[in-house]
Amino acid sequence: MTAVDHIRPASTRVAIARLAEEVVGRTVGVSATRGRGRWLTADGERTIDGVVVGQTAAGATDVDLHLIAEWPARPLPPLADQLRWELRADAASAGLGDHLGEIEVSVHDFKLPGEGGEEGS
Amino acid sequence: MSVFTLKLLSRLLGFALLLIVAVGGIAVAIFCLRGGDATLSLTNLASLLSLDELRDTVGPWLESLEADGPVAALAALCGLAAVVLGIGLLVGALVPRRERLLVIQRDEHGDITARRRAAASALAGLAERPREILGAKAKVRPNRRRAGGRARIKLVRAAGTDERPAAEESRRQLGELGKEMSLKLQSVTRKPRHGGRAL
Repeated sequence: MTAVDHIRPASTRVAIARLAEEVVGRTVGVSATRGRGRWLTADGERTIDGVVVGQTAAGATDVDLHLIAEWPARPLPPLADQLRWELRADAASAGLGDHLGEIEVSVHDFKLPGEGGEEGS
Repeated sequence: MSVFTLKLLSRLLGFALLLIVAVGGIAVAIFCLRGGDATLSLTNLASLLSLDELRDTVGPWLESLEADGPVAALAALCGLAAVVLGIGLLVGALVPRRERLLVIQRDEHGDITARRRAAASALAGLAERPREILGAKAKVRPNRRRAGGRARIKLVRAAGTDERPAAEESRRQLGELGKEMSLKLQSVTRKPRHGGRAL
């Protein structure tokens, strides 16, 4: 994964994926899964790992966040709420708030204290 | 028919076909050892299987299939059923089964889910931290319709109890993690097979 490219123009889908990547990156207690060819969004020559965005028939952009949670740093439901709230706030500031649909959070691994976890190892 | 049933059917049928091909292949290979009318020749194999009689039996039936009539209609139906079955088996063999996730919370904002294996691995990791636990295996069964599920943790437990604060903390964390993932924890304990160790 390389640095976020703010200069290159992107579709709404990719723009939301980039915002999601930033939100996950700055949230303590979680990290994105490695995409493994499945849980990622293509952004030109790079990939946004752990973020899957899809557009619904109604035109909304649903976001699936695939994460590794560090435990017991934070309880999961408030953590997921924080991720959703921050992503919605960022999307609203970027003028994409109306496009954002559901945000689902999927935990692929739990990184226990002193362990790398399955994904992290 | 669900994808699970189709998958099961395709696996069973695949195994049966493999078995038939393997046995048939071995038989043909053995009967290829000699030529002419010898015991281990293909001619003998054909006569053992009564292929001549089979041709005499099946031949007229195949001829009746070519003509119009009830047999041809039945054959067409069987052919159609075979095509449907074939498509079903292809679906079973090629469509990936959707992973059943543990739903931790479900509301109007979306779902919070966890992979069963990750949840089980985290539970087992915490469960085996106290010294008296020599091994732990966890299995998570998510509820089908609502959030949460059950987790069964199999523990191999030595005699005695680790009373270090770290062990107490791990036990507390295990309960907390289960609660956080909306899981009902069930522990099954057994003694080590070869005596194990005592604390």
